[in-house]
Amino acid sequence: MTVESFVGAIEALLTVETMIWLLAGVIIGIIVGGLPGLGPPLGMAIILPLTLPLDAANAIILLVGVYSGSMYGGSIAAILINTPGVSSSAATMFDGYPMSQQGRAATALAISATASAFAGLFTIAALILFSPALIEMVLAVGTPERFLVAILGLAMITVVTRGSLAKGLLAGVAGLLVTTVGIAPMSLDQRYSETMYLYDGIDFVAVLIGLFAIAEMMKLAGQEGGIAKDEVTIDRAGITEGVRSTINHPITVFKSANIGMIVGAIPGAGATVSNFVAYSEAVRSSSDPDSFGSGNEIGVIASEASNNGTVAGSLVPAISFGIPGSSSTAVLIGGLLMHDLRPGPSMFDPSGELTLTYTMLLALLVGNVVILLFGLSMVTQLGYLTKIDTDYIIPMVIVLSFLGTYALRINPIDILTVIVFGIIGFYMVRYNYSVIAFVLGVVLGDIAEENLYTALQLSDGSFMIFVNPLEYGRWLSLILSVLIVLLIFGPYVKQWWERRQAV
Amino acid sequence: MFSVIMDRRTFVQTTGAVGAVGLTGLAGCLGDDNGDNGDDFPSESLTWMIPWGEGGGTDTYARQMAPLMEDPLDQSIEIDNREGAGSMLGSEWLVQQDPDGYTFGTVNPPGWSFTWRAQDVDAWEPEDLEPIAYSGVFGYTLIVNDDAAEDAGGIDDFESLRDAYADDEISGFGYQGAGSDSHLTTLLLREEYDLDYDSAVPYDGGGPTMEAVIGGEVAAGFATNTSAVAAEESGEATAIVNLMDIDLDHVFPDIDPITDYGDSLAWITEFYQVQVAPPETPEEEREVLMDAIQEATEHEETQEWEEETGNIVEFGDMDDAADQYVGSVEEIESQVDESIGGFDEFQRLVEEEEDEEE
Amino acid sequence: MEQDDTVGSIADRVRAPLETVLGERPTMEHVLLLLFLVVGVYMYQGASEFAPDAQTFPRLMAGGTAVLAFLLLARNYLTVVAPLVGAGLGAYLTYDGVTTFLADGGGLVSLVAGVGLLVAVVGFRERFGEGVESFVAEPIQVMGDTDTTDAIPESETEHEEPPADEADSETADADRASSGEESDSAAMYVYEIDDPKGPVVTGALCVGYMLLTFTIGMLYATPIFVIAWTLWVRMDVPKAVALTVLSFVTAYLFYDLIQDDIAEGWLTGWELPAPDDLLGLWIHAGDLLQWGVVIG
Repeated sequence: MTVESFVGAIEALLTVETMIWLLAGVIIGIIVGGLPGLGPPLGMAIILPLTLPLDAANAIILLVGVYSGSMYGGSIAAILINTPGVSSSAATMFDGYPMSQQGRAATALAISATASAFAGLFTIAALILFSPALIEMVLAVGTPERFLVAILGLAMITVVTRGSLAKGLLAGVAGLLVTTVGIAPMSLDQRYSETMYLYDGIDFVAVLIGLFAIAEMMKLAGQEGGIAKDEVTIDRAGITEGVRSTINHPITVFKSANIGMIVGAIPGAGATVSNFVAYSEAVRSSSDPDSFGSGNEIGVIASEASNNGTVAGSLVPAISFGIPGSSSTAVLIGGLLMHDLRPGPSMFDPSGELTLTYTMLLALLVGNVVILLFGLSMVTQLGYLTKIDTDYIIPMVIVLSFLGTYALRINPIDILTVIVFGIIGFYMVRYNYSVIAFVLGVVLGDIAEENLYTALQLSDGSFMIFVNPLEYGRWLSLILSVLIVLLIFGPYVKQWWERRQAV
Repeated sequence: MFSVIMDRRTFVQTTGAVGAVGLTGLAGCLGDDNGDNGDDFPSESLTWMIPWGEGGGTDTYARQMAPLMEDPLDQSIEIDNREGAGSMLGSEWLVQQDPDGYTFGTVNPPGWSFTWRAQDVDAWEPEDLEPIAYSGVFGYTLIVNDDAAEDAGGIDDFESLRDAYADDEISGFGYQGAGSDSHLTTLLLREEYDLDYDSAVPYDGGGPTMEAVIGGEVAAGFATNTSAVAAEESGEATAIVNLMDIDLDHVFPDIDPITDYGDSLAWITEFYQVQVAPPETPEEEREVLMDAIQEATEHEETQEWEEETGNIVEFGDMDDAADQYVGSVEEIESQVDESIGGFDEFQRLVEEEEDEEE
Repeated sequence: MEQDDTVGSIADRVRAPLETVLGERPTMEHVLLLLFLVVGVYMYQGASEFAPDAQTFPRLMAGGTAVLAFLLLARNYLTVVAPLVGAGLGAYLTYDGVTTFLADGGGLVSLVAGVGLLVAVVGFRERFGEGVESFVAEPIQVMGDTDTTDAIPESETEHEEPPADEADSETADADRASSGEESDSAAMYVYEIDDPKGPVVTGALCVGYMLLTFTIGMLYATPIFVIAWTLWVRMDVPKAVALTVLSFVTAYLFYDLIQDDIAEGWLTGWELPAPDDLLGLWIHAGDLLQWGVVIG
C-alpha cells in the first residue's frame, strides 16, 4: 500500500539519528556549494565512502542533504560575491548580485531561502503525487527533444540581450564557439586541442567563474568601499521584505519550480540549463523586462525556485531507470548501489523500495525547511559581507576561485580559462556585451551539437524529425519547435498585430 | 624518524643546488612521508585512479572493492575519477605518476588497447604500465526495447533480431560512441553476422545508449552485462544476445550466445578490470596491492554484491593481469586486419558513415 | 579604457591614425573585438582539418564570430562595408556550395544561402547596408517605432541606452567621461572605476598567481599572492598578516581535505614540503632541544 509506505517513510525520517544526518548533509552541502567550482558532485563523492557504515536510508538521506544544501550554498556565493558556487545557481547572479550592490543582500538571501524552500516543498509534493507521469515524460524525452531544449535556451539570448542585437549575438556565438574545443561528438577529431589537457574541452564551470567572479573582482579593484554601494543598514527588515516578496509572486515560484522540475528531469541537459530557462521565462513574461539584470527580485525568485525544483526532477530518471542526469545524481546512484539498492521501478513499488524512496523525498522536503530556517537566521550575518571593504574580499574570492577550480581536475588549462575569461568578461560587461548570452552559448553548445548529430542519424539526415510527429511519433518535439518559433518571432508578430489594430 | 628529519634538512639546504628532476624525486618521497622502505608500505593513504566518471561500471567496481582493501592495507583508499578521451586521459595521467605504489588505477583491456590504437596515442604505450592484478570481467550484450520487440512479433534471440531488422519491423541500433570498440563491433555484426540494421546511431557512452533503448528511440543497442541487468529492472528492455564468451546464463537464463552464429567476438567485447601501476613501480609494492585485491575479491561482501548486481568478480594475479594487455594491441590489429581489413579501413568506415549523413 | 590613462605619448601617436581608421576613439573594446575576429578566423581555418561532420558546427560558429566582430569593428562604415561583406560572404558560400555539390551532391544549403545573399546585396545595396547598420549599432527595436508599449521587451531601453553603443558617444566618453556611460546603460552592470589601475593590477596579480601555481604549486602560491595583494593596497600590517594566514589556512584545507595535488607545480613537478611536515619538523626540533637540555 502506498499510504503504508508513506507512513513508514515518515516514521523512518522522524528519528533523532536520521535528523542529525540530514542536518549534517545540508550543512556540508551549503559549505561545499558556497565554494566556487567544487559543487555537489565532489562533495557527494567525498561523503560517499563515509556512508558505508550507515544503513541505507541514512546514507541516502545524507547524500540527498548534501545535494540539496549545496544548491542553497551556491546561491549564497552567487548573491554575495557574484561567484557561481554551483552552475545551477548561475542565473541567481544576474539579479541577486546587483541587489547586493544596492545594499539589499539580506532581501536577496531571504528570497533565495524562501523561494528555494517553497519550490522545494511544492516540487517534492508533486513528485510524490505525480511520479508515474514524470517517469513517462523522461521516456518521451529523447535526442531530438534534448536538441530542441538546447535551442530553446539559445533562443533565450534574444530575450535576455539588451542593447545592440549584434553584440548579443556575437556574445552567444562566441560562447558556442568555446564549446567546439575538445573531442568532437561524432568522430575521433580532437578539435583545437593540441594538448591533452584540452581533449575534454574548456570547462564551463571555469568559464563561469572567470566571467563572473574574476571579472567582478577586477572591477571592484577599481572601486572604493564594500560591494554594497549605498549607505544602507543591513537589518532584519530586509528578511521580511524578501519573504514577503516571494509570497507575493506565487506564480513565478510555481512556474519556475515546474520548469526546474521538468527541465531538470531531462538527463544530460536539465540540471545546468533549468535555471537559465526559468530566468529567461521570468524576463520574457515580465511587464518590465528591462529591470532584470539590475536587481529585480523576480529574477532571483525564478532562478532560486527552479534550482530546487531541479533537484527533485533530476531524481526521477536516476531512481526510476538508473540514468544519471548529471554527475551529482551519478554519485547518488553510486550510493544507492553501494547499499544494495538498484534503481528501477521497484523503487516506486509499494512491495519494493517505495518506503525508502518516500523517505528520500521527505528528507529533501525537511531539508528545505532546514535551509529556510538556517538561511533566514544567517541572512543578516552574511549580508554584512557586502559591507566589508573589498580590499579584503577580492583576494579571498580570487583565492577561493583558483583553489576551487584547480582542485577539481588539476587541469592547468582551467586556471588559464579562469583568467582569460575573467579579463574577457571584464571588458565584455564594460562595453555592454551580454555575458548572459555568452554563458548560454557555453552551457548549451555541446548539448546542441551532439544531439543534433544523433537526431539526424536517427532520421537519416532529415530535419523533419523535429516537426513531423506523424512520421516520427515525436509530439514533444513539435511542441518544443513551436515554442521556439513563438519565442523568437512572437514579439514581432504581436507588434505587427498591434500596429494593424491601431490603424 | 631521525633520519627522515635529516633528509628533510638536506632537502631544504640543497633546494638551490639540485636540479628540477632530482628535486622532484626528493620532494615526492619526502613530502609524501613514505620513504623507500617496502616493509612499511603502505604508510599513508592511496589513490585509486578510475579513468571514467562517477557511477560508471568500472567506478562501481572500485567503490565496491576499495573499502574491503582498506583493511588488509590498513590505509584509506581515495578514488580519483579522471574521465575523458575514452579513458586515455586518466591512463596518460597514471603513466606520469610517481612509481611509489601509492597511486594505481584501473584500465579495461582490450577495449582500452583498442581505444589507444584507434586514437593514435603516441605519448605512451599500454605496456608502459605495470600489472598488479585483475578483479573482474564485463562485456557487451545486446538489449532490445520490449515494446519494439512486441510490435515485431517477439524478439528473443539473435536470429529474430536479425529478421526483424531485415524485414524493417524495427528501426535503429545504438552503440556507445563514434570510433569506439562498440562501433567496430557494430560494423562486424553487419559484415559477419548479417545484422542488417537500418541506421546505427552513436550515443555518448553506455548510459545514454541504454537510455535510448529503454526510451525506444532505437530498437536495440549495446549494454554491458551489468547495465543490461539495470535495463531489465527498468521493465522496458530485455537482454537477448550475449556477445561475450563468458557464460551469463545464471543472470540471464534465456540469453542467446553470439558464438552460435559465428566466431567468438570476445577479443573486442569482453573486458577486464585490470589494476595497473605507473611505469617502474617496484614489484614489492604491487604485490602488496595484489594481495589486498585478492582479499577484496574473496570477501563475502563482494560475493553477495556479485550475486545481487550481476557483476562478475574474478581474481587474476600479476601475470594474469599482464596477459590481458601485454600484446593485446597486436592481437586487436590482426583481428581487425582479418575481419575488416585493418584500422585504416575502420577509420574509413567511420568517416563514410559520417558522409552518408551529409 | 582605463589603460588609456596609463599609456604614454608614444601610444598617443599610434592612437591618432587608429582613430582615423576606426572613425572613433580606439578603446579596449576594439581590442576585444579584434580578439574575437582573430580567434574566429583562426578557428574557421583550423576546422578544415576535421572530418566533414565535425567541421560544420565549429565553422558556423567561428565564421559567425568573425563576421559579427568585423561588422562591429567597422560600425562607422557599415553602409559601405556591409554590402561588401555581404557580397564577399555570398560569393564564398556560392563557390563553396558549388564545389561541394559537384564533389558529392551536398552543399545545397550554402549554395542557396550564398545566391540569396548575393541577390540581396546586389539588388538592395542601400537597404542592405542600412539594415545591417540598425542591426549592429542600435539597440534592438524589434519593429522600430513603438516606444510606449512595454510588451516589447527592449523598447524601453531606447531612451536610456542607445548612446552607449553608438560611435559618437564612444568618442565622446572614450577617455575620462566614463561616468557618462554608466547612466546610459542602466539595464546592465555599471562599472564605476575610481582607480583605473585597479583592474589591471588585479589581472596582473592573477597571472602571477597562475605562474606561481605552475611552478611551486598552489598551496604556497596562495599566501604569496595574498601578500602581493596586501602590499598593493597598502593594507595595515596586522590585517595583512591575518588575511595571509586566512588564505593559507584555506589553501591548506583544500590540500588536506580535497586534493593534495594542488601542492605540486605543474610545470616543474616541484612539491614543497607540506606545512604539517614542516610543523612535524618543528615539533621534533623542540623534542631534540629538550633532549639536549635534559642530557646537558
